[in-house]
Amino acid sequence: MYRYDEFDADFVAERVAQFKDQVERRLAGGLTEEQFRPLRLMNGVYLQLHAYMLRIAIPYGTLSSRQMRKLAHIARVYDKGYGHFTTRQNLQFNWPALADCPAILDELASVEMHAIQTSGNCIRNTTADQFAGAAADEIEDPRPYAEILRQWSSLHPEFSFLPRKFKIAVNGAAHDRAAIQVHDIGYQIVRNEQGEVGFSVYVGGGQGRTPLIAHRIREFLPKTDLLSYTNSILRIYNLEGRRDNKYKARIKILVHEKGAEAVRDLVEADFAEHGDAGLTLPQSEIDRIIAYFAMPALKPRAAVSAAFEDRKRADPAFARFAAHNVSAHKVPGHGLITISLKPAGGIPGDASAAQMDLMADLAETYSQDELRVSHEQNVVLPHVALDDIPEIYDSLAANGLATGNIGLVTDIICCPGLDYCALATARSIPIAQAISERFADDERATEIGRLKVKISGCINACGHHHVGHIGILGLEKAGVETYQLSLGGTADETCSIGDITGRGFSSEGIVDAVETVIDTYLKLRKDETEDFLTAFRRLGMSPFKEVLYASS
Amino acid sequence: MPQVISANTLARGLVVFYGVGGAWVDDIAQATVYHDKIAADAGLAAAKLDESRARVVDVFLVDQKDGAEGRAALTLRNAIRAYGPTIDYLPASPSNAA
Repeated sequence: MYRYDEFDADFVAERVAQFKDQVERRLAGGLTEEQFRPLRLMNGVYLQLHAYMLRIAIPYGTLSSRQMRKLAHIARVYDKGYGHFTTRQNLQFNWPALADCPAILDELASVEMHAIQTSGNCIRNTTADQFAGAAADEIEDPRPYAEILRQWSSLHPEFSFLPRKFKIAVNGAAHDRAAIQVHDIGYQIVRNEQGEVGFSVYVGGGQGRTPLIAHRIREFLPKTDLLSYTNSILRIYNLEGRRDNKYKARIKILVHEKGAEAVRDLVEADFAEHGDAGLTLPQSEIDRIIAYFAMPALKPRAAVSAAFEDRKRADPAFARFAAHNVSAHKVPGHGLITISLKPAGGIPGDASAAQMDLMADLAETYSQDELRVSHEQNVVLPHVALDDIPEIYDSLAANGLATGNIGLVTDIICCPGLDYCALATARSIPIAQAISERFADDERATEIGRLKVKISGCINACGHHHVGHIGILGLEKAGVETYQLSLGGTADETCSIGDITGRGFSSEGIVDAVETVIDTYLKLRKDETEDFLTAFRRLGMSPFKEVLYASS
Repeated sequence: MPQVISANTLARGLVVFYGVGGAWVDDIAQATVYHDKIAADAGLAAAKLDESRARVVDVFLVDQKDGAEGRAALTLRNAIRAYGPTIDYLPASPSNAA
């Protein structure tokens, strides 16, 4: 894992000291709220409906056991004993006191974490595939490049006051697990015809009130040009992006209005002019960062584990967990475990302090001291021996963390919604809980197969509803919550924005509507190998719409 | 329409309501209710002084409605502000937070 150098440590320590002083001045009345708001936001402190909220960055979703334990400690000492893993590889605490925030940031700094650039019109936390560095299907680990981007973009003076926030994601396998096409910049690691590894560059994707899929503006970018090219994209955006209307200020609008080819020409022209102006990455520097992310020395093991296979045969719940929550590792005899934070009827993404400690312990004992968090609000143990999985499963089961539902209907992405969020227009968590309970039967969920349900409590789309196979958007109409349903979205390499079915549903009706859609799919699918998205793309909206609105 | 005044405390961000004698209380039932615009505006002006005294932030008037079950916030958003999240959000076991 990456370790802070003296520059990282110094600037984080300096920022904590500055913020401590700013908080003291605010509490003493020396700063007005208007003066203080941008300062607290720069340090990840929001004021939500009921309390302050602190958003902490987990760069490219990688955590050590020590860092996870620190999050558990903060949850216990400064909050209400839990935290919420978000859809952008951050963790949010929902109840910190303002006066405690500098102390929390100090605690975070002691384990090389911070909350800088988790808010504001700057370059936010760079995200990556949660299986980075371990997945069998990976071309190359994206994290070194995400780390290079993190270092370059941290407190970057030219890009600290962009027209709007700016999000970058990097994905390392052909299968997109990082949703790069709905980011401002998506970097897809590719291998060209010469066998060289570099990036395909996607620009102008995003969700929110205007969902747009990113355009590929460059097929192959050499690794050494990563920062130069990113710099050119940001420069063009900073110069050309709209500042007159916050709803039209994201780069996706610039790309949409100007055209992807025109934006590409501008970026390429800037890159041609400035591309060698000091930002070309020396291979030695790339290699230095890559060394931090070297594959741990995993003990050689047989590709097939008798202990793992025996338990699968003997225990149906374990077999289900193995089928859905264990993924193929680069190293034979090993696997990645995705720990579901979506128990039946639970709150997606929430984990108690005790659960965080347990996951840290399991990572220390079985997974080379490493954890990952996914934008789908789950936690990953990336380097486990297949032989150890039965034991890990038993520990997870004893702590309510062994739900075997990854990729199934109950593995729901969900924003905090109106239960917490000052921007929300409707509740999202109760809808997720109701759907989770409706489909809690494991056999039924398995029969339905791969299905991604994503729920947002407002048009800002933090719950990624636009790219849900089934997407739900909560709105408020005449004082009443109403839920818009969309079908056919996906955030993977075949990225598509879902189509809205028609008029919305009540908070009670939306769960029935989801069930109607799923029952229709089960009736019309070719066979059980045709998943929901494939069937929807074949069938189109009509058969679903007909049954949803049959009585009207 | 009856109204009360609400804000968040500066120190903790918690929801409070403007009560008798200018005290900030956490129970909406203890909030002063304003029945006309003149009284509400006067109350709001007084309450906003506590923003400059660094006691509260985001002071605003909250519309209320009278129904069969008594007085309640007109909007779901303000009802959730008054009574907290509608979900059981605390860790299931006390030992989780121990």
